[in-house]
Amino acid sequence: MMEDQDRCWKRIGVWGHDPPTCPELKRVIHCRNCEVFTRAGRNLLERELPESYKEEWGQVLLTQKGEEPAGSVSLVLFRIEGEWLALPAQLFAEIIESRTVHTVPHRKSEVLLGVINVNGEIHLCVSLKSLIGLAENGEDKKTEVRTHRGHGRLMVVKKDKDQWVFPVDEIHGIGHVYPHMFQDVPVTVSKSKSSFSKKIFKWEDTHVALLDDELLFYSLKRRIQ
Amino acid sequence: MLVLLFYLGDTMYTMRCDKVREVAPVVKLKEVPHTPDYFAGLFNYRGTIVPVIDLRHLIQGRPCEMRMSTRIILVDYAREDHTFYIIGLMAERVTETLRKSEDAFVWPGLNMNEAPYLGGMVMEDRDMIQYLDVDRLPQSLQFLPLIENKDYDPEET
Repeated sequence: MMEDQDRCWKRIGVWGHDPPTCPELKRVIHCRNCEVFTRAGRNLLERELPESYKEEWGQVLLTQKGEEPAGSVSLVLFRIEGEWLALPAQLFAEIIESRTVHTVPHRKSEVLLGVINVNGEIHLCVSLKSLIGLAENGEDKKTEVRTHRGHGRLMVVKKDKDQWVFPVDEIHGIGHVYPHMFQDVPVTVSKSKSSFSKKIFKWEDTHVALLDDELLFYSLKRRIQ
Repeated sequence: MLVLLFYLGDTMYTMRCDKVREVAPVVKLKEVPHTPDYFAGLFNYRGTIVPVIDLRHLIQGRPCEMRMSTRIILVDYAREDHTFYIIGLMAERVTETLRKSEDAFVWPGLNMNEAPYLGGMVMEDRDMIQYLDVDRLPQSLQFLPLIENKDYDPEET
């Protein structure tokens, strides 16, 4: 059905190789507002119905449509060494590819790695790994870490007008977590001085620690100054 | 108000959206023997057994073409005792909705005993679309035990 259709939007429309020449564009501005394009899209639905499609949807419609509990929290899940951690998504400015970190002379610190160019602005690049204290037990987990597929990224995080850049080993993306999924951190862990974990939740098969962002950035500032 | 557009063959029809619970793709239906041809079958809709009517078969005498755009419109209808039930209406090219004001609905005053649910028209530019009254439809489908037999209460079983 689609073969004999004139795909004008690729020929004289906005998706063509040459500048668009279709006279209709004066009226509709963009091909997606044009009836010809809409009709072609609708025609895609005029395909034969595969038998497996019916089966699949039968299964979908079997299940009760549970109302998603309201008030999910959006978190960015990332990995440092073998640990999966999370921070609220609204703190994130962007996530970028790894790039060169320029060291700052006369400022040697485990936490401060240097400065970094993010869209023409200079920001501090900080090691979350040393701040949280994940660096020490990194050795024995190295073999396990290799099985993860992701690659290193930089998280650009904004907090109270300050922007920080953290290198991480892997970023999963944004996850929506419901408040009932959160569990308290075991007392033995949360009492220890270096713990920044506020809550723990289960994500797929791993336990993820939600970092206490207030505490994290407070101690970051103190360590850097 | 929002109306749902659908086709039966080449003819466009419409129904009000406020009774529509969900528009679902065509699923595998359990056929029931000795029922009229326009009764497409039963299926399990989120835990309730819902009868599905092939609207094209009911109105035009031919079954719906099995295409991706053929869908089951799940509508609520009230029984005489004001309990609500769900019925599935299978129609073709269920892809669009339209906003129509109340005065676009016209009743030409046809006395249609055979299909009382098909009396109205909706004006659309210079065209008119046949309007399907979902409230009157189940009355015409006399084979459904859920509707006719008042002693039968699915809640008890």
